[in-house]
Amino acid sequence: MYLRSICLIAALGVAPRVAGAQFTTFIPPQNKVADSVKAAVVAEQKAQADSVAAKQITNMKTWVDSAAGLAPTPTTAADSLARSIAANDTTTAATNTFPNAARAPETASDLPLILLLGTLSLAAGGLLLIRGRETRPTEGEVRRRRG
Amino acid sequence: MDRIHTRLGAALCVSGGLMLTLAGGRYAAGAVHADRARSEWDAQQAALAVSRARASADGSVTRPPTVEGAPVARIVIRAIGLDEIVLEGVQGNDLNGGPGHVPGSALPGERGNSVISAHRDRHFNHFDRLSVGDTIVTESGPLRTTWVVKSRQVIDKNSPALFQTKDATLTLTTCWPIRYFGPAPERLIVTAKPLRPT
Repeated sequence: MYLRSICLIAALGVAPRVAGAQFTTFIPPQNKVADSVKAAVVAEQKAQADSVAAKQITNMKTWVDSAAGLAPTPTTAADSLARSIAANDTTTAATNTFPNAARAPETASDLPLILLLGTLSLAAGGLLLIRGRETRPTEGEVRRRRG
Repeated sequence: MDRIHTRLGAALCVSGGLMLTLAGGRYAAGAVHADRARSEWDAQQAALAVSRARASADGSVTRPPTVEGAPVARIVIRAIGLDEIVLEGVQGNDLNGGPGHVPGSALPGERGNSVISAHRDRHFNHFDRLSVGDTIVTESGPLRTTWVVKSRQVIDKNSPALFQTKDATLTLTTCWPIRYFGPAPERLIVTAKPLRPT
């Protein structure tokens, strides 16, 4: 009887370990998508918090500067400029798309001719006006003719 | 008879004055346009420096926007005292403000034929003094290239003059003869190659 009790106690003590080896708990695999979404949300929140903090510091600096009578430094001008350039970024490559064996562009200009004609016209007109004045009878001549 | 002379003289003076005003106004507008283009170019270079500093790790080459009338390059030829901002396009207004880059051709320094044209009575008015062996410096975006003049050709205005190339080539064109009244019948074609082939 005594031996039987000891065996029973020993069996009860060992049984859970053996059973534990046979029946393991089901652990579902981690949901990677949900985890990455969570991580992204956390990162975004952190970034937001950081940028808000940075903005707050900037605002505070602006406020202190304004109190000190200093003009605030533009912080976004360079960014917007760079963004506009970056938007136009393209990689370099051989970009010959004009027609092969094309004629040279029309670079002929009429301005020198117009300048020449204008100068000649002005000179000729001036000469005619001067000659007209010279041949026009003076008041004395008119009186003499009348007299 | 005197009255006719006087009227004719006045008419000639007025028409001559109008023609001189027209030509002078056009030259003045061109000078203003060139000044504005230079300011835009400077601003563009500053913006480019900022964007290059930001994307230094990227290694991508930035190219200025090729919008009609926008400054796309700078050309310097010390031999004839030329330092101009090149505008995109070869239409009347573009060429009035500065040398024009032929749309579709490569930008100076890129692989391919880069074609730049200008009026003989304005920006390329000393092109007759340019000779083989002279150097040309161009800046376009981040590309700064030194070129050597390899050939000068005078061809009829209707002859084929612009050819596609695989390697970097700079072709400069203007009207010929330089000193000529009226539409010039020929074209001067100057071809240059980079000092270090790209």
